[in-house]
Amino acid sequence: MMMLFSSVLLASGPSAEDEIIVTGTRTPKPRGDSPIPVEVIDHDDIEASGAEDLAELLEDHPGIDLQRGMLGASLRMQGLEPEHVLITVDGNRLIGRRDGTLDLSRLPISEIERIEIVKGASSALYGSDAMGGVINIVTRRTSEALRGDGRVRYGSFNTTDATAGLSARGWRLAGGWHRTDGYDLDRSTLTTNGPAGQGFEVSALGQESPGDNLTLGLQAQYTRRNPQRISALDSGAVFDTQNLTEEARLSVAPTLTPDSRTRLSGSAALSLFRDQYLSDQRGAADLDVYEDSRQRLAQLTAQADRLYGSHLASLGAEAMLEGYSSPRLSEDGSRQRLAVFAQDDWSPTGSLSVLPGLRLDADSQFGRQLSPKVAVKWSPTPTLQLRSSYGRGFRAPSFRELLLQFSNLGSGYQVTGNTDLTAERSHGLNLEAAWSPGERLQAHLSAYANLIDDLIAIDLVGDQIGVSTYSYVNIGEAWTRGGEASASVRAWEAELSAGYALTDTHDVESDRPLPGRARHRGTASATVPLPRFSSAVTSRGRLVGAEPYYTDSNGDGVDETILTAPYANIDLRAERDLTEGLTVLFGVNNLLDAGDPARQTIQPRQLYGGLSGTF
Amino acid sequence: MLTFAFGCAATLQPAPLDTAQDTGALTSRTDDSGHTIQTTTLDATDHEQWLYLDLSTGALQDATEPGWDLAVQRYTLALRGGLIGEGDVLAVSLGEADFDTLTEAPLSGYETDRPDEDGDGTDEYVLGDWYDYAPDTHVLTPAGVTYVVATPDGHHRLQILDYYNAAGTSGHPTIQWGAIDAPATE
Repeated sequence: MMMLFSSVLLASGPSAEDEIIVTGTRTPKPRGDSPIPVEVIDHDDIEASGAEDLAELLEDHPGIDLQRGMLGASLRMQGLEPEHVLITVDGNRLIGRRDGTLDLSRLPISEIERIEIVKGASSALYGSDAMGGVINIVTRRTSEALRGDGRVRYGSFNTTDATAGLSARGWRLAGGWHRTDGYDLDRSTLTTNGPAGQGFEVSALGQESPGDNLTLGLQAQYTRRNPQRISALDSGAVFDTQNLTEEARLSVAPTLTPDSRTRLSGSAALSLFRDQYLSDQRGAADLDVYEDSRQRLAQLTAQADRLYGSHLASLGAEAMLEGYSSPRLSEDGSRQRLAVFAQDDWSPTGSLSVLPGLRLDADSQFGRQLSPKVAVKWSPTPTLQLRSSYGRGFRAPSFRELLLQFSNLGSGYQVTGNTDLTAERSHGLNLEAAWSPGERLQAHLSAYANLIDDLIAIDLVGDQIGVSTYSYVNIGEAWTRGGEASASVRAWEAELSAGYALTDTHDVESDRPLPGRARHRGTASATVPLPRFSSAVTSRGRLVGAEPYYTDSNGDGVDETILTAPYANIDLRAERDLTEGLTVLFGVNNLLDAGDPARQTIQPRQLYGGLSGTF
Repeated sequence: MLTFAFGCAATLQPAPLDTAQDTGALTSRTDDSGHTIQTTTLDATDHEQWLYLDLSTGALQDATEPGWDLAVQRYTLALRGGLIGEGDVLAVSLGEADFDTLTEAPLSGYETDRPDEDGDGTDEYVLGDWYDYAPDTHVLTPAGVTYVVATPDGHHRLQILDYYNAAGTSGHPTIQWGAIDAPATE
């Protein structure tokens, strides 16, 4: 414990339990010591996944439910909606949500060191949105020595991805370029499913140590994406749609460790997001839509951590300035939020730790929210860890829910915002058992329950034939519960892992399961190194059970339930080192060609090949 | 202060229109019995303004002009002198009677539009049951209803064929109608 903060600076090649993680307690900590379970997708996993963006990377992770739709790829955790999962980069909130959905396919992964996933209500540390959990993206580290890396990949659907980076003296410059023709799952219609498009990103990051105990992390990043697709209305209107997004992030994060018992850290981050959406009607301009929306977020964080005997106390404060301008809003939205949080990570004995935490958010729009959390970890034997936690979660109403002024008279409806909305609130309970009898075997078993109240739902407030008026109201109530089981085995050099997630949800008002959640999901992966051939073969996949959807297709006022067909998605990948620092790779994604145009718009089978090199 | 003026990408622009608009054109054909049938697609997209159609000529008129018979706004077709305008245009719904073979107007059943009577919040338009409405897609589909409209100039059979123009925009009813024989008196 005494060595805590110095070990953080050393972190190199740790085993899974010793790996330093930050997201569970918002303080750097060996993963095995964290009272809050944290799942990690590390750099090797990212390389072996064959994924090109965050959506592809996360979709085969146990307990993550990734959905692709018109607004992009979004994820659910613990049966909760995408807007109930907080996504951060190095602890700073990501912006750019549309309709609650943060499109994960626009986030490149080449500059990611690792991803830390905390499932369950975490508002006691992270505030709004952290109801289903937190996904923290940790940016790639720099190196002192001169290092270069590059990768190019070409595959089906004319998909090209090229990334390159250069590191030296604690700084790194990187960039990437991507394009694809997209895909169409139903050739008999004009509409397309997977967007075509191109994009690029550039980033610079650095780490400076101006003093002995002071480090300064600096980051600047710009990403542009322009997905394009063809969509249609049931009336026969056909649209060419484009969604040009630009995102810029700037951050400065100083860390001061005056002695081995104290750590002072801070962060100032500015994020800007511009979203241009054009829906261009074919053969007419009557239904053309052009929207230029801008979001901005400034975040200031300060945190002090100090060891007092068996206590590690943390005290922090956060300030946020948030703005949103969009032609869909009745006025520009802006709000400010101040938050303070405190936490005591107490280890009364070597095998027991108790962590109470509390956060108070005061917001200029929705007022005050108090979010407590308490977590307990007990290791009855060195190989067995039992963790349990209870926490509260909340989600602030979005500017869209507050201020929307939208009519789609072509489709016959309009939606208006509601400035009287309050935050959604949840209670979350999590239990976990982790068993690691050795380096060769690790097994986890977990269960959770969430109770969500004051859910913001769209409700019909006026109906005329041809024009229905909807607004947002805090009327919903739902619960989700479930469990996960996962195990990974290392046999000889091969690594095998498998996971299963059970998701049971209930919408109290409608008295039925929440839509789109598969009750059963399974994931599996295998990595087999073939050192004789300087090669490795990786396979990963998921099995997704039936998902219920509800629609009133016959107009009798009663929804019919539609169940999607279960499907399996399997990816295969092989790579071979040609020479020192040069690797050739081949792969196939969605080997079984799963998916259907109506509800499961996943990319059809894709073959690809590429080269990656470092010097 | 933080600025909203962020962005280095060009502003997105719609492609220039390369297709002619299909509203306003009037086409004519003659059926087997020698009666003329006219067809037009109206641009009735405005939620406030009405279009005033003269069935004898197929021309659109101002509300102040004498010759119009039907007022059209979005999916509503109003008879002159009912809830809108001065006059005495009447109509009768013949359900799914065959439009093409209807050459003689029925003797009775004619009425005009009236304010809401059944308390459903919508007025009682005689030509109000021409479509089926799909609540999940908000799409209006013609129900195949044939009407006979009695105007000062004579009787016209009338049917609404579509609610969307070729580009799929709503508020563009395609109407076919034509003069038919007056009812044979007993």
